[in-house]
Amino acid sequence: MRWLYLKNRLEELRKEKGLTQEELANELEVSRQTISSIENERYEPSITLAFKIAIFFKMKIEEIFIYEVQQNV
Amino acid sequence: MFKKNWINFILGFAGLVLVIYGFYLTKTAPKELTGIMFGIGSSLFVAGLAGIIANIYNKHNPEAAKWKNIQVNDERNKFLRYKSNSMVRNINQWLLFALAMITIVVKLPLWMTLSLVGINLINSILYVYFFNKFSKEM
Repeated sequence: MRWLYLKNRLEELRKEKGLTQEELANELEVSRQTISSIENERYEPSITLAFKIAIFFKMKIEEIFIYEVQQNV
Repeated sequence: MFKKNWINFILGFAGLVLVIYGFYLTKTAPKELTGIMFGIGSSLFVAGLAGIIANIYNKHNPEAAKWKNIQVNDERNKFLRYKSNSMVRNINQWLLFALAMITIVVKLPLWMTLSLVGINLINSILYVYFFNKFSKEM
């Protein structure tokens, strides 16, 4: 099994709700730069923040954060 | 207001006392001692005063206080601070090593070389200590 990387749908979900990065950051009590870095996949959130995001969007974590795995080649 | 700011009041007061006492001792004590008293006293006084002003500002601007709290406790910012501190520690160790070599080459007193080596050794010991301590906690 080869572990690849974490992708996320945060930007897509945020825009669906009509929120700016700043507004989402205020709701989650993190900085706007953190939201931007997560959306650009430059930063992986902690499990606590991932849960906060999932609870905010009323979805499961794995529906927002997708860890790509390649099975044995 | 005093309850919230008691540490800042104590810092500021201690700084002021040091500076005033430094002035008082100017003619009798060595210049190095009064210099240290002025330096540390002024730093403590300004730190205390800045803390008090910051608390008053935050009390009248809750939005700004909330934003500042978020920036300080933000997980990405914390991670960046830890990573930066770690990099600086690594660079400083090499700088201390280079400085120790320079003191040998230019034939400075041995105690200077040993002081620099000692600081490096203390850094390494503290690193091992904290690594083990945090390993047990996490």
